Amino acid sequence: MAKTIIPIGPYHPLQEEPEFFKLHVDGERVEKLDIEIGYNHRGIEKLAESKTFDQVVFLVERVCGICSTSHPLASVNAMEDLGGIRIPERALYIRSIVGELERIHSHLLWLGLAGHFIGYNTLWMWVWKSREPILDIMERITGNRNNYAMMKAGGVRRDLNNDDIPWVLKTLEPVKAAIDLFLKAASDDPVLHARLKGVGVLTREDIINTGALGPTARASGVDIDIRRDEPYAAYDRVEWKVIVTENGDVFDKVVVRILEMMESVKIIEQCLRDLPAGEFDLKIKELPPGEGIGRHEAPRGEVFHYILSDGSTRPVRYKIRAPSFMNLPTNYIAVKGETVADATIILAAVDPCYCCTERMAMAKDASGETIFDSEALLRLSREKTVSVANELGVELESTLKKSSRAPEGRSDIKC
Amino acid sequence: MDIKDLKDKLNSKFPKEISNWEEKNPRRLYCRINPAALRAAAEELFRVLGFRFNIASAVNTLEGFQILYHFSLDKTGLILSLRVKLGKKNPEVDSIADLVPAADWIEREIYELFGIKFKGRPDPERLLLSEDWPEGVFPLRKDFQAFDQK
Repeated sequence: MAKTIIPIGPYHPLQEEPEFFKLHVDGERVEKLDIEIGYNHRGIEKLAESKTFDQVVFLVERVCGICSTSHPLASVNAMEDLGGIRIPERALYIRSIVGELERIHSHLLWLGLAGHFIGYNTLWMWVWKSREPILDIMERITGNRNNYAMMKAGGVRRDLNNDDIPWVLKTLEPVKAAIDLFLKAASDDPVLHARLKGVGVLTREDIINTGALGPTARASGVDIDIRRDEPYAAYDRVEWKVIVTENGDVFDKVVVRILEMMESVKIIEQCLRDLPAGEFDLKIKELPPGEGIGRHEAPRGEVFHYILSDGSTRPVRYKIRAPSFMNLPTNYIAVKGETVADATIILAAVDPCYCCTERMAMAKDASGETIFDSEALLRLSREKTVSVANELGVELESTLKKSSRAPEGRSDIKC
Repeated sequence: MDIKDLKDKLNSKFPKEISNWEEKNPRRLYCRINPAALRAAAEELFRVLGFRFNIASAVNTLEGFQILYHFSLDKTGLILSLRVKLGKKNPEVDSIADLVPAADWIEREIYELFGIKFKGRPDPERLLLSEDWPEGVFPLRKDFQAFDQK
């Protein structure tokens, strides 16, 4: 029998980062995966060599639209490591607040799309509704719903207005309730269990060998979190814990992300409560020659920036390690031997860019007949959910629908 | 394991190969390693001492090329960067991707962007650059000129 290759990618207008997956399938089983990346290679490392250090922070903010404060935070950590700079306490707290708000919005984005892929559209809509208040808070604190431009070497670019703190805490309340609801929905829903447990399993050894990090690694029992292991910002000044589970399947990745959001809320609340008064920026003018390494635990894993400076205003070399660069190769292992219906959610579980499925192109078999296109693959994934629900004799999204009402939506912000 | 233990261990295992220790601060350690000992050192760090491979940074300076292999010990937040210095012409170094699988993609990236060859691995397909990018043009080298400036 002729082998079938299902191409997924590489372009779709919704994509934040195009990549191209080729699934080699035999019947329904995935035998092998090819990954091609580079479709969106913008040469940011090269560009950085032509920018001043102040501009570099803005440049790396454009590496990723979703974790747009992760790269700047790693970048300023690297510059401060290079110069041996200690920044004001207030700036440390503000950095953690922005970093954790970003983690919540990024995890919610992923959770919603994961629901969408398996046909849980109520979950999708509710999760994204709860993401809105987070963006409102970002807008109030930083002035922007995305690309916040808050980080700079020596501090933060703008102060947090103390009068906003009660409003921020109040706006977080419905989000907290919603996260609780999502956790309950995930842990009680028999269809989600049947659909996600034991699917796309990555073992501890797989993670250590591939160097993957973030929720992908922590769901497989690898207890690494840069926020705790190399404390920066205010992460060593507040109480929180690293979420680690053992099973390594897609279900555990969902659970890790939901629990991490709860920890993020705890961090934000403590930072707002303990926010010290004083300066928020050292107003650094120059950096010495030398090397610096800065890291940050982004929503998807470790962001690692290396700077080589000759003492001028521009870096000689700027190296960026993005989390997905190391996480994506885990898909080679995770998707092997699984069914095509599960491939959609497995490839999305790493959170490389969830819209992967939507840029699926047509696949034709030897006779020229179309086998799979993006809609067919999504349909396959959703049909499996429905059939699992029928087998179990339960209604789809039963736990969500049983709860009294949707999470509260937009906050009272007036434009 | 603190920095002193680590230095002792590596110095006793690689007395001649590792040199130029530089302790920038308690969490950042740099050293230079002879390219011939790179594979053994990478294996020692990754398999024996429990380090994680973060990433490698290739650098093009006036003296030529160098690659920094960043390994981290996550329990302590320590990052050890092994520095390999390579010549100006036809730079090449042993591949460590078979020992440290996490290094696979970054070796491909460095080859495409800097033209540093990794010995002992099959010539892979291109990872980042498009298929119509000309052979032998390496965009992150300092002597690279944008096509419209030639």
